[in-house]
Amino acid sequence: MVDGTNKRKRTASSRGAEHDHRGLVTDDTFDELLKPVYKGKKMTDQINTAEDKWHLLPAFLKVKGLVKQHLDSFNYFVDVDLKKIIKANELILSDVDPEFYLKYVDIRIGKRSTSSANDHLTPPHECRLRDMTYSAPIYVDIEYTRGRNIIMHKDVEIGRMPIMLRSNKCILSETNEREMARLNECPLDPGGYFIVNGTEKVILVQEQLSKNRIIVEADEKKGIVQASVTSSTHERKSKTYVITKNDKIYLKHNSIAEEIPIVIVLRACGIVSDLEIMQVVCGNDSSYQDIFAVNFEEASKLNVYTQQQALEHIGTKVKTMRRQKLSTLQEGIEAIATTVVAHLTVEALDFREKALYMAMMARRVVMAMYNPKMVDDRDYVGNKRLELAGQLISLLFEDLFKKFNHDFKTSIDKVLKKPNRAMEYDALLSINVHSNNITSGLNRAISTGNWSLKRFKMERAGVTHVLSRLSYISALGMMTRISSQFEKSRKVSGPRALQPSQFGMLCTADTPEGEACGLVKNLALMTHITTDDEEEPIKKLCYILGVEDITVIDSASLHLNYGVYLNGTLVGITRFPNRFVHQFRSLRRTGKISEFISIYINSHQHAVHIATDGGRICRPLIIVTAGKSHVTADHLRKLLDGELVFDDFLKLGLVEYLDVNEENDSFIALYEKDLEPAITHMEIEPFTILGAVAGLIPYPHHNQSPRNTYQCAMGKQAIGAIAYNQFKRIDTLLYLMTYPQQPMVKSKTIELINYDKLPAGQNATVAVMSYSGYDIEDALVLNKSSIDRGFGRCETRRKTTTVLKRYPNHTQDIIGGMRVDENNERIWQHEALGPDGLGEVGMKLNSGQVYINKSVPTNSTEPFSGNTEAQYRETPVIYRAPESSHIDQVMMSVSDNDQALIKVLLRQSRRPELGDKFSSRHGQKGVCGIIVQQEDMPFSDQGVVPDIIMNPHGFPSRMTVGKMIELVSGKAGVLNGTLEYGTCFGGSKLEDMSKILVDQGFNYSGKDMLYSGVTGECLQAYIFFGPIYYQKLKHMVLDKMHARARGPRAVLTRQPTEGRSRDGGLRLGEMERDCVIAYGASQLLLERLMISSDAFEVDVCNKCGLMGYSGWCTTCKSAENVIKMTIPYAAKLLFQELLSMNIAPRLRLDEIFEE
Amino acid sequence: MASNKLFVTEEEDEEDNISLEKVDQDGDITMREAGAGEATTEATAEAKPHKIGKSKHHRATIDSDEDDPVVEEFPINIAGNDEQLHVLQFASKPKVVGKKSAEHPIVADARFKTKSHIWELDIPLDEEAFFNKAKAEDNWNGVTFQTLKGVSVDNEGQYAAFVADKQLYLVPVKTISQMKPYFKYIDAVTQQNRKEESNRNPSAASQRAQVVTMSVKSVNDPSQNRLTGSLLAHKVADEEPARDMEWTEGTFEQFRDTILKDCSQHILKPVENEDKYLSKLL
Repeated sequence: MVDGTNKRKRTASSRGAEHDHRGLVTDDTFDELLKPVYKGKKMTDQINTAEDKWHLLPAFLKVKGLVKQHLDSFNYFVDVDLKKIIKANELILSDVDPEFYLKYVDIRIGKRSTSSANDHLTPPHECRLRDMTYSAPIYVDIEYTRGRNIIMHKDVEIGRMPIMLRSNKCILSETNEREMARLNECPLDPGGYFIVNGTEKVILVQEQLSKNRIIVEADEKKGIVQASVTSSTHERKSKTYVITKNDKIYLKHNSIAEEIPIVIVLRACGIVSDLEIMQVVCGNDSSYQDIFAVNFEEASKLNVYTQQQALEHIGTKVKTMRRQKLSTLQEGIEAIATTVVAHLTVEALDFREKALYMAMMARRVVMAMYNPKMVDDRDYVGNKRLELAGQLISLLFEDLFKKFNHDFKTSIDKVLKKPNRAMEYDALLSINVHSNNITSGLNRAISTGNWSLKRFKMERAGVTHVLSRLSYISALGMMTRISSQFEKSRKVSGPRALQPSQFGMLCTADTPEGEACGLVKNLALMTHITTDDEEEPIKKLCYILGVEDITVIDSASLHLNYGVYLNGTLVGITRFPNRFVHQFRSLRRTGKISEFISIYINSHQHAVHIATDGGRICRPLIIVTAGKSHVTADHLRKLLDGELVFDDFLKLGLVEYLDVNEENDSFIALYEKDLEPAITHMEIEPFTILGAVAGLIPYPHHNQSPRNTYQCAMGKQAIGAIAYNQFKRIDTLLYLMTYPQQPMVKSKTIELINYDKLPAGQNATVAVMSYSGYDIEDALVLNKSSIDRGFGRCETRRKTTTVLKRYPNHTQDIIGGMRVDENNERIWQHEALGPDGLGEVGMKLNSGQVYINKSVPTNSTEPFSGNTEAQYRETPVIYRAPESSHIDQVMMSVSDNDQALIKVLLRQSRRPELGDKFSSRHGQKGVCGIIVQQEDMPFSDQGVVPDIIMNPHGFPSRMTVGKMIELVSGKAGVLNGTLEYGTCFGGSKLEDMSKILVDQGFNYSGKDMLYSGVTGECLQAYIFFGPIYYQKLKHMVLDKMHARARGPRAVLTRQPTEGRSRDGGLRLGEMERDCVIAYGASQLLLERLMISSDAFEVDVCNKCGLMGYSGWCTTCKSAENVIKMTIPYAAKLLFQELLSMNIAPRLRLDEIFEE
Repeated sequence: MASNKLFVTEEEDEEDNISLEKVDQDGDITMREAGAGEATTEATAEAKPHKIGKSKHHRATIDSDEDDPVVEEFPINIAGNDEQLHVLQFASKPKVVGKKSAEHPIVADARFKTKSHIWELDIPLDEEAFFNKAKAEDNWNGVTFQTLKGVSVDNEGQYAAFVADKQLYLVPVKTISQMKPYFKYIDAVTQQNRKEESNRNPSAASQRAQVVTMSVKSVNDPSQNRLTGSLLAHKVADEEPARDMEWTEGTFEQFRDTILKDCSQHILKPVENEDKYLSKLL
């Protein structure tokens, strides 16, 4: 390949060699990219910052990986959040014995305090095969009293925690490829999922509106402005509104019966005088004052002038149920201190922080009343937070842990209550009783996806999904998917629309079509999701940097300067916002504070916002000052030499992370040529606005955008290689391509996500022409010889699981041997079985043959009777399918609950047939319309025959120019011996490609002269002819074809069953019926709807009109007037059902039925 | 002090009204009125954070601020180990105060609750201007004081400062409290009315004979909740007796002298040298 590169370079050098492939050809891991010498590019070669800065991307992915957001979040949970949860719930006290206490000191996952190494865990692949949960024990260190002694107990196991693969608690973290192979793991598998009961489960990223932030919205129709904040603490979640009603401002909260005028609320918080209220809300802006003034009237109408009156007023409106009786004044205090804006709790007497928070809410409302543009956008990505696996498990764990402690406490109390115990009570004796709660609670939630949290009264379904292993890309795509909480059925356009703020954060192309369109999103390639950071040090830092504390500022000067908000809460004001922000950023760039803390100025709100909370999406950008990029050629050289890694770029202040809000406060250049003095940042690579799945598309910037979206959906259905361990996996259903090829036209993303190592498709030679008429509606013409050679060949592997159950009466299911005929040969049904009663590997299974010869005991409940004969009833597992399969693997093992587990994997090898679905990488799908003998296919001068003929009508309306360029680049690559690039906003230039074609004696545009295979004559037009990467999609005729003449019927209605799997009938539906009626084909209608369906002969009594049987009317007690007639069984059923509800449908028959 | 005056505030001025007060450890109060000297006003809350910020950053920031040249350098003294400075901010006082004595009302009475950190100041009302004496007599039991109340918040990193002999003296501020009007007399009247109301027409419930059920509960019964958080703090504050304080004015000179004396006795020595400090910064 190196030779090829040189040769091409020589040919291209005549044009000045603008098109080159410096360092772009990679076959190995990222390490290869970072080696000093690779693929013709040496250390001494000139480094061009503008072109080579993309090397930061592999460096980023090397550090971060593709699913780092999941791993980071889980690591944060097990390392930090768990300890916080333990700390918050550390004490268990007894109600009986005041002396008793139990305290949690520490918590660890999968590691004892005594040993330095981690516990041995069952390896993930074994868990998959044996239907186990990949989990590690949770150890706590506890301290408690026994009698008068205080006892420390270390390493008490309170349950098992499912472990995210590749997280730092996983045995696969930091293992090399060799070790991976030993554990039967694929080194390219990204991890980030859980294995629960043998299935791989992903906790999808959830998108939510950010917590503890004020969102101002206006409803212009109703004339309402409202500021709302969702307060979220560990204990509760609640929403507080400041809302307008007839231009007056009120505070609204779920646990307060009616809206409270804002002036009363502020008085209750201790801001008593009208002057100060005015100052706090409006400052000295007279237009705001005019809007707000009316609110004072409201308060004086209610005669509320003092703090006490205000508190009592609120106290009367509170509607919380308490066990403890409080006076109205106390209710008021409690409401203000803890209920309203619950994320700020007032512990002592100082309400100032809370008062200011609510005053700010009121101010934002006043601002929006004055200027309707001052509202927030719910859909703006900066107002969103992503909830990841770690956070969700943390919520769940805390709930379970609280329950665990509660149960623990009750059982301790139960013992301590007994007055005379013989021995000193050891609390530890009660702990293990409940230890299953946490384990099973976590397992159940992850395996069902039902997240129910008692303390938030939250019930969420569908949080987890089974990891789709259809192809490598589908698994990868699932890890980057973001689902939003919005209802799918609602017809709203806002949340579905592409937001400008998604740039670089969320993929612009990858979203499903249909009901979830725009609600399910995908992360872009170079993103990071933050985890929670400590607020307190940042607050201190602000004060050091000159922010004036709000406790010091008087109300009059509050709005004169810029407010500083830390995670939405006002912490102070600054006179020099720009300088403050600048200093703060320089501290971040020098690594003094976390690189993920964002700061930005909102000049409309006169505010500096600092965010340290988790769930913000951010991405790295190159820092630019005075029109100069901080990243220089020197840095890039060091990066390539391996002297620097990505994190060094952060520490050196060359690159920094910006979240969406801060990005909005920056001026970002796309390319180095765009740099000018005002620019603050520069993109690392523009193609990172796409995600991993959209990155597969060559030349996506030449396509119409919906086509890229279609490809994103189809790329996940393409059959290909799944993982290096694909043949060792036993999955319910697996599709594998027999001869996958890496694409001729790749992209940098393809290399970065290793799609070239686990490809899903083949490079087909395509002729764009019409052929045979079997190519209408995007149908493809396939070359039979290509199929013979292996084009589009794939295999399916299907798993059957059987458990040999044990029963209470000590009987259990058994596997019988095979049955033989008189010649001592296996009977036909048992042909595939071995002596052990299981199918033998490699045997062919035809429909009706047995592959697990299981028998169950006839008597599984009553005690063993001693009669050994005829105890078992055969329940063999029989293979039923139109096509035969081969037995690929048979596994017998023991699962968690000690029952024998048998898994049989059946394999089918499939070659493409009529109706199988194929697609290129440009959202152009088509089914195979005809398979043509190679000799009838057109051929070129060189004797090249196409694998696929595609109808040219596919192009004009679809406008997939990228596909055409792919063909040209691919053709040039084939002729030149190189792999070409179709990277978004870059890639091999069409001009260079055409040049290669011309140099090789081809037409510049990729057209060739073809000869008809049928007549041998030259075709009248030049044919666009070359390689295009085609994917075989999972929809295959073999899985869908279905016909039925007679077959099973439903018991109740006696109509044919529904669905292919039940061998059902083909429904002549309502609309089809209408057609037949319109046509007047009444006999056809009768045949389809009754005779071929549920015809039923009834005996109708013409006297009473009711149905009898056997020529006898039960109502009239005679056979005189009984007439036989045929009606649909469903009609008979209807009559009977009506009778059952006391309605008598009586049939009156006309002459035709009279004899 | 007439509350009417509050509405004619000139809001343009940035200075706020701050009184500085010093409570000696033995409990008697020395006090200095705000606005007495230009330097001291500047030295209080507003200007300080920058001073602190600067001193931390020292040369590093000074170099970068080209439009903000160094005019003069002051030596800094940190003093006051045994002084307890409480800053009282008068939130509702006009910003610009004239020379009229009515605008400088004396503080008649001062109370402090040590456990709950609550200040209460009684200020006699100016009965001459904008004061409806009859209404005060009729409705509000003849009120003659305005009570200001404030919760003092512990403070860290703020200093009171003054310049003397081209030297800067910093005294740490212990707490800060914002004094706000507290309409005690309204609450008192409301409470009185309510009591009279309930006496006059006692509710039906209290008249009727009732079956009293009694149950015995253990003292440390968990179901009997104790007050927590803010409720507890309010209860403590209500039950705590206020400590009467003496209000003394015009003690700034004396205060300054003690600080000067204090500072002359010991000189602050840096623990580290400049290089070490800078290396920590970088």
